[in-house]
Amino acid sequence: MTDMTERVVECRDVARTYAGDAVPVHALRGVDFELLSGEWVSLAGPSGSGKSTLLHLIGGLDQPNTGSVIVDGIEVTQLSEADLSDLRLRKIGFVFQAYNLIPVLSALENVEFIMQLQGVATTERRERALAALDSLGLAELAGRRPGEMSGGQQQRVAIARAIVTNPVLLLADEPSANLDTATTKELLDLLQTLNRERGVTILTATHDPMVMGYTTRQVHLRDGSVVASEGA
Amino acid sequence: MTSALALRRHEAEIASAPRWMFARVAWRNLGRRKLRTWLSAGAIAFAVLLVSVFMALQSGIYGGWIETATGLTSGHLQLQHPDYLEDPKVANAMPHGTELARIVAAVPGVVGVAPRVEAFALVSVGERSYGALVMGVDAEREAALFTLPHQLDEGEYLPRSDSAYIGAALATNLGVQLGDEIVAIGSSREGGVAALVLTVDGIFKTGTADLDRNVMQARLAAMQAAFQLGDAVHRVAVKTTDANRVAEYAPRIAALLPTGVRLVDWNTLLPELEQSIELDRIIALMMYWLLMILVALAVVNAFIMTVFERTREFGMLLAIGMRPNAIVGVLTIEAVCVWALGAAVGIVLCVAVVVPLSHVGIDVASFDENFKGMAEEMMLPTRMFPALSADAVVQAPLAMLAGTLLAAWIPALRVRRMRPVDALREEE
Repeated sequence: MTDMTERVVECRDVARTYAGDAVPVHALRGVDFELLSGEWVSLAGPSGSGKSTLLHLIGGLDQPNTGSVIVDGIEVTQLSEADLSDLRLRKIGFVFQAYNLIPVLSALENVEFIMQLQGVATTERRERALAALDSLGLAELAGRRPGEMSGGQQQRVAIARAIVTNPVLLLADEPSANLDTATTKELLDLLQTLNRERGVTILTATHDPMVMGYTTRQVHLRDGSVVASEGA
Repeated sequence: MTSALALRRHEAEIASAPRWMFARVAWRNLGRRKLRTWLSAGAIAFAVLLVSVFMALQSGIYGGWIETATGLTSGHLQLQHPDYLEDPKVANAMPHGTELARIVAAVPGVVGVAPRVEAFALVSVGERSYGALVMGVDAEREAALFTLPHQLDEGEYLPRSDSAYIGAALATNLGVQLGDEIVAIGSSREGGVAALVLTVDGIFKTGTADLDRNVMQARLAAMQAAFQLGDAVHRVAVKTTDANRVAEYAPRIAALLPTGVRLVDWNTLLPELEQSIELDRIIALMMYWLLMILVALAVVNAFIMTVFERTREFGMLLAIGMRPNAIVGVLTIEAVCVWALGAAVGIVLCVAVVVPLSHVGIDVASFDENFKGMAEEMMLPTRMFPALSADAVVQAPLAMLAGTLLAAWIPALRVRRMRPVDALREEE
């Protein structure tokens, strides 16, 4: 496990520009950012501020035009597509805005699936998946498919899938976007427990003040630049 | 406690399956768009059914052609002097014809044999003379095995030792009728003059101009005597239980033959028949491929829709670390499942259609009165019996498998070029 003071993420002078219809869109302009082990940081800002882009770059889903992105000591910008897949599979857990579970698999199978990709043995895979669901209070729903669960339940299954592999980093992109207030609170309490009790390092992109209230640090972005950082 | 029980119960439910996770995902994905899945599978089933049934019909038609053509005079196999096929002269005869016929007749799978001598002769009546192929035959065996003796237009088939059975056109050309006397003159084995005086006891009409104009049959003994052949024969025509099994019977017969005797199969004896079948097969094959390409295009369309609709899902799978090739693998399994459904339905329907028809046949003549008359005149079968073969039920499904895989891979290649970040933004 990564040490509490160790940098899990280190971004240096990261820029990302997309080819727009008429003019280039500068999504990030020379961003420096660090995330320490055990932190729960929110990337906050209005729509188009660059928070999702930064999250995607850290998650190895996209590559910057310039700058350096280091995750758990690995320079992400230097990795091949295959190595990026491997990085995402073994070091990063993802929770997306729209649940994004495999609709034809049950909750248990969804959690097992990622371990199948990792090559975890059948028995161990099942045990760990069951334990992850149980720890999130989803044992009764293990056999249900996503379509048979509420939004909040699906999001908790997504979290179970994200943490079952013990990633060094959990990335959550607008995790509360499709949830009501009560469900959002349940979800945030759960993430807080994971962060505080299991030391899971979490990076969240959000514009929801309720989410920001739970995080240990808030990094504010505007027009592709970091404009403020609050918290510990 | 309750949750532990629930966990154990669910664990038991899935205990048999997790190692087949990809296959399970693929199979269940087929249920997400049931109508589309069944339309794709139905198109494959239709193509498999159509192609398999038509191949079975073709097989039956070819069987009819072969039986008709070989049943007239040639037989499925023939014993000949090694040079006779290329140089059919009287001297190229096989000695001990009776013994040869006896040996071959005893081989399992052989229905019967008919020894023959042949010679080209000048057939004359009064002032009129025409060249003809004169065949000396064992009348009883010929009548039992071949159809030419039954193509009687007038009279009887070789009732006496000096009878002649001649084609209708030859009879017309010579101006002979039943009971008239004719003379056949040729070269004997030793080079001398061979002469036969025969009485026209039967006239045949096959509808095949070449036969009706140029062929005459006489008794074997009379021919052997006239052409100084002793017990020698030029051909021993062999009829087996099935023309399609000639390759199986031929080695058994060949193993018993003395040196100086060649075994020739019907493909060699009737090359034009073989070529006609091959030509027909190629034309049909082109039609089948066209049909299967059209069906494959429909399946391509279905898979393109699938890939576009699930772009975001693929983005999520790529994001959590699934390799593009693994996603293509899942799509491939889906394609194979659709194919298996369609092929199974197609084969079952094909068997259900062909098996009963292979017993009762299809009365082709009932479709067209003109065909009935023509078929009877040309000795073509008026009832067609489709023949279910391994080729018929294997080739079409395999061709469709190749088409379906190609249909799945073309859109699946999009997944290989997909960037997870772009895919995740789809439909957002």
